[in-house]
Amino acid sequence: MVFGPYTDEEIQTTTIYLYIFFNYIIIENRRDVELHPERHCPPSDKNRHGQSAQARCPSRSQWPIACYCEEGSITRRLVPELCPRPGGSLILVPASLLGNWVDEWDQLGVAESLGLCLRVQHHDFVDLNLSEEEFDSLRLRMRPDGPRLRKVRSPCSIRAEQYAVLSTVQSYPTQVQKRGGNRRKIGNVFCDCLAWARVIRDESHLTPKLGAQFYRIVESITLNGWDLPNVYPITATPILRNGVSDMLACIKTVNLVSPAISQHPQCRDFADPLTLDQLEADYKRIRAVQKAKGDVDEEEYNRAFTSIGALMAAYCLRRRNESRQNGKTLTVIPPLQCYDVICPTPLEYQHLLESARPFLGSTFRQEDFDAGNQQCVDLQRLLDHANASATLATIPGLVLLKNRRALTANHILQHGWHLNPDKSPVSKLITELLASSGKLQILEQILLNLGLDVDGKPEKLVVVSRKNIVCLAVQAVSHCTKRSDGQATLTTFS
Amino acid sequence: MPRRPFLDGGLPQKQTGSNLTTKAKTKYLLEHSIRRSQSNPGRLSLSEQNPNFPFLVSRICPYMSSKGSTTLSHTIRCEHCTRCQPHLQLQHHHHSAKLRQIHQVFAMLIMQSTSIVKVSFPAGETSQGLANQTSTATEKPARASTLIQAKISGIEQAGADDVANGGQILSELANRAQPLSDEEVGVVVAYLNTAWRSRSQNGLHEAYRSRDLNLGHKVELPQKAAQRLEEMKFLESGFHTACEQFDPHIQQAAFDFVKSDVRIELGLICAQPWIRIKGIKRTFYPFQLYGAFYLLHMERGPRRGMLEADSMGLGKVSCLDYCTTLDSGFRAIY
Repeated sequence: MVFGPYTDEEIQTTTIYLYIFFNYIIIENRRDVELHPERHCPPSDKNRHGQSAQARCPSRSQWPIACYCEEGSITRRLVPELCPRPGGSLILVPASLLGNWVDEWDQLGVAESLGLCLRVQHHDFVDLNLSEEEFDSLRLRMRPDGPRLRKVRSPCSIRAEQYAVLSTVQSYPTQVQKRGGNRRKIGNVFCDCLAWARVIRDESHLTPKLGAQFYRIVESITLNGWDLPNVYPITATPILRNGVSDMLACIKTVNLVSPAISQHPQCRDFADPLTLDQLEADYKRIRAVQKAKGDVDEEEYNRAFTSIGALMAAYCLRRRNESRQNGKTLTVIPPLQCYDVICPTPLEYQHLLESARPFLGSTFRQEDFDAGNQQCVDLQRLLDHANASATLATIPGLVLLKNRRALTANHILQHGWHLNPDKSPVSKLITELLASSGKLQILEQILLNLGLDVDGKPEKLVVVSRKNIVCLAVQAVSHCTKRSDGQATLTTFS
Repeated sequence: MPRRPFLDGGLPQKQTGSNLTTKAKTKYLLEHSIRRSQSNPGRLSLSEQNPNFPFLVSRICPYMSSKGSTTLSHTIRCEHCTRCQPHLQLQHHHHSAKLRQIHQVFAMLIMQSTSIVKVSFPAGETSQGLANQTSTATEKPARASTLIQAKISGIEQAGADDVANGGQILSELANRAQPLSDEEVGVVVAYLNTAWRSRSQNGLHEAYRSRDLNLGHKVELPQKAAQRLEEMKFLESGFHTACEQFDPHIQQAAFDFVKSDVRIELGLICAQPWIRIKGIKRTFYPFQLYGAFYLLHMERGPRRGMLEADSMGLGKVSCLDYCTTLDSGFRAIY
């Protein structure tokens, strides 16, 4: 059993959403200053005295940021660094995380209070799709201007920066490019002609190769003729299995959208793709030598790793939990602890394992195998057999379901047991399941002993299993268990 | 007659002439007080056995003897060495431009005495004046408890009225026309620190401690994975400070941008999500505000993108949001 870090719920606010919000609110603030000067401080001009350093915007309380009309404000002083970028925000995330992003957005509450909306272009979130009118705000209209096509944004009452569009790399071509853009082909790439100001890719370590769909999407957006977007890959593990190779595709993409990257004091050494390729080759060679001989030339090793460190320093914003800023660590995350736990099936329930053979044999017959009928032993069936066996070894009482199909995810989804667990046969067999499984008994023991954490809040337990039927069983156990401190054991099941 | 503390610290008689400036006197003292570590020449320390130590500490960090004043710090950033890591950032309180001068000398000396440390000075006036400028210094880990104790004593001395007023001031912070006074900052800091302390049942110095589960034998990570982790740590260790991209000026700007006050953050004992932004229901940690503002600040520069590579749990996006949207209990996840 592995007890992993569980992050404090208050930490789950998001840097990226705040960044999108800042962009939006600066645009709104500056627009309001231009359209409604009577609401703001009068600017300095040559014919009268300049604005006082103590001047405060009359509508200051309405804005979450220092108002642009105050000439001493940070918003004004940092121009052009804080020059707002018009255009929408495209967020590409794995499909499994769409719900997380939507939930997080709802918790910020910026849609109701400030009109900054999240739209989801995915077939699972039809209600949150962009409307035609909202698509219009993103479309770039092409207008002939001499021999070239000059692109301008289509005039629309709804502003593109008002929307953050959430999608997946698989859905984007069909749900966004085909539907919303004036799609046209340039070379081998389709450009979608949508005004994206920034492209954000969550879990970017999942696409470490430059040929992946995400990079093709960014490439197509760069061909729109609009201002090049800002690109922000997000990952907690920029270097994972393949060393520096894991983040080179992201860095090349950042370079692609940064034509002046050679002017950046830290990044100019990495502006040339050949330099990055050479760095990757050096890293792989060192790794190969290290694997073969067990040792490498120290000077070469230091040189390569120093370069990789400099590369990270140039392109990464990476804070760690133990980082110290302002005299204190950023946050405290509980350490990962592993326990070796023995939880065998009780002796009186060993007979259930005996009945597992006919239970499994419905799709995999030993006799066929013995008879030389190899058609019945393809790899997929063998894996299914192994999975089912492992599930039964964990909870032998599942044999009493009498139907092997009941163990599969499709069966659970078809019957809606994941939505109404009480109606599943698992909940009716809970006594047998609990009595036959050492693991469930351990789980029950943990549930009974949950108390308060160091902050005085109820301790929580997260159970992660790739077997759906095990999740149903866990829920059944939690429903019939009462915590010693009287807290609810399980409120919702996903 | 003004106090002449330099004489108490053992300064040679010939150096104590009235023609010497305070800057020169302090420089002399610091030159003879700061020592390099023999095992790691990049590490500087100020020995407690040094007869000038009490004076220098009181000059460098008056916070230890007073409370309720403004916290300031410089940033000292290790750029090249992979081993040298600041163990403690002493936070300093400047009361006057004179002390600020002393501070700059101290920081300059650190910069001159080693090639691996870079000191960034405050770049002139900020929106809230000199009082908002900041400075830090490396010190022995043992001094950390001293600093925390000083802050704790500040909490204990804060009255109940102060704590109650702190919440009120904090809620009205964004609407104020004028910056907070030093006293008001102290009240807000006392309010937040007291709130944090009341939440912590196991004392101030303890990090997270899980209860013993009594489930079986605790096991170490497999050796291969452990080696890999070590390698990753090595890879990042030398440049972790640089990867944080932390700049006090940008932090100051970020707080000014959302109409908050960085002095409050500098006075807190423990990181808290205390920053409120009008129109957003949730509160934010300072590093989240900094990260978002940093991306915004750099957006128009030559580098039009970055890897947002914060460690898990720092709030890039919600990874365990399914688990945290509930008020209590737990939730199984497919």
